[in-house]
Amino acid sequence: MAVIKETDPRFINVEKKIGMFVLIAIAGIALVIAFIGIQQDVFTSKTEIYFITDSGEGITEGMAVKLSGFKIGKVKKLNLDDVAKVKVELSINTRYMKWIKTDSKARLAKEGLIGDSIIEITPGSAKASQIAEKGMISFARARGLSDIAEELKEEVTPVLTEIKEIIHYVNDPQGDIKHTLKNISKLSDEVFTTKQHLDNLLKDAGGSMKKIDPLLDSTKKTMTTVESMVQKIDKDLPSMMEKIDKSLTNVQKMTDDIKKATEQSAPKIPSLVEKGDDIAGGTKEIIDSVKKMWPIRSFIKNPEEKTLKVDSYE
Amino acid sequence: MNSIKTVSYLLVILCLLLVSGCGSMPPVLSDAQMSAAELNQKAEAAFKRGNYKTALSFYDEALKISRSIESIDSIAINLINKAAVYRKLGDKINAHKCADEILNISYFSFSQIRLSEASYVKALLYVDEGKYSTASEWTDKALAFCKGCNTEGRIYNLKGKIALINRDCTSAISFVNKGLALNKNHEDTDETANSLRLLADAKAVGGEYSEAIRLYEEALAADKSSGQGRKIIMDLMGIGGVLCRQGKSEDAVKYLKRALSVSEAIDDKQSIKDVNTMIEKCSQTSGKR
Repeated sequence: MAVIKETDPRFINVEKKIGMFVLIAIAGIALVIAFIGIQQDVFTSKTEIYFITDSGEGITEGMAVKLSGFKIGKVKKLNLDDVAKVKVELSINTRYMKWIKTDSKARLAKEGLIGDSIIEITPGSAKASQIAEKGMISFARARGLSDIAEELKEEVTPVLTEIKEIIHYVNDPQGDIKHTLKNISKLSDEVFTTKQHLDNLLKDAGGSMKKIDPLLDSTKKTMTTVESMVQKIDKDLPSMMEKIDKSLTNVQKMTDDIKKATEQSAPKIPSLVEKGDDIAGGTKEIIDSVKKMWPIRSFIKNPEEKTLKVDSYE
Repeated sequence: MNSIKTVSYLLVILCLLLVSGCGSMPPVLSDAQMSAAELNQKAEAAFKRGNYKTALSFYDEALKISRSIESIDSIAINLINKAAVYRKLGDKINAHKCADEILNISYFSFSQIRLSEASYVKALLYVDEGKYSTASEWTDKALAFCKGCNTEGRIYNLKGKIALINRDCTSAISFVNKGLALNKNHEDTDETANSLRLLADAKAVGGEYSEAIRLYEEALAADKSSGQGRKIIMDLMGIGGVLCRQGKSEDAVKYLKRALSVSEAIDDKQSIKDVNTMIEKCSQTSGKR
């Protein structure tokens, strides 16, 4: 059995070798730390700006600050000031500060319908000057989906009430419309009876001259009825026309309301659909990526095309 | 020492895990292939629910995709499936057309198994039309294309069924026995139950009633395990029929009433009608006795 001696060639310069190994390891660790630091923007120069808002709801420390979709910084701190307003301090990468002007606006927005909340800054106009270190930027909250829905509800509710009232008015058995229709129906019955009488009269005219008198009486009676009906219609017509006019005004108002509501909500719909589509696409992409990851991929089988099992007995 | 050993084992396990992580990725399907496969699966689900029109539209879409990427096997699969769906919808002309497209097109070389499946569908269509000799020819073609494929058992079952229709019990039993062995070998539960039922039918025709009942019971157990309502009705009707022929009308009616209950549960109007007719006939026979 060979005994390891200190003169063994493998031990020559062993201290130097170990030293080199440790140095390389330390250098590697330092490189990794530096790399992570660069990734995390630790070494990037920052400029602080702030905005004041009534409520800090939905704003958290570390939240991303974006400009034109690019992450340019983060929310550094939230403080409650003397008048119970919230001062939100933003830490912005200095190289992006050239786009943040005095007329730039910050707003609380969501990335997609169900995405993370972010602070979105709009680039200012070319004429405006760059915002200074510790400068203030104006802030507004973006309207949420619930706000839009609430607004839509407020617009639509009166319209639906008007429609309900109109339907009720039209369907009311004691109402003018039903009453007028009844009168018209009665009138047409009378006219039909008169026509029958006239037919009979004409038929019997040749040999039944004696019957003319009672027929004329009947005609006279009918004509009286017709006259009274016409008088009644004449009397009812203005009020009926007034009601119809009122109804038409209501319908016109309702149409205007619907148009207004549609006009207000229509521009938001494509962006909502687009956002929903983006989210669905993103989610699919994430799931697809996860499916391809080890070891998950080994548990997921690709869908396979196969023929139906066509039964031999049926 | 022990801790060194444990660490060594852990390192080996870690290495193995890392190596397995580098293992080959499953073949990645293109978006079109993936869509075709998803449509195929949706269609199969619709077919199983009995929603044949939906299944047909999904297969149509899948076929369009398969043709667009000239995926030959996928084209064949979707054509065979379309033929099967058309058959269920009673559209024999289109069913034949789809199967013929596989069997007659010369510029695509479809695999033997797809040619066998298409021939099998043709045979089934001819059985439906009552053209038993032509159907038999197509079963032979299907067998010729299918050498060692896993659908051989069902082709033998169909051959047995045709032989039984032609009252050739000996051939029927021979074919179905072959089918039974193959289906058991391929663990095809549904077709195994079909083999057992066909054997039972053949035994019943041959007057071997107790053997027939035993086989029907076996088929019934298999159909129950795979939850095949319509097949359960057939098994129960088979047993009822044999018992009735044996003069055991009371027992027969019990089985037939079970068949009726299943038919009502799955709302199979034709079965309800058939079972009621059988109950009536069996009761009349018993009355005469």
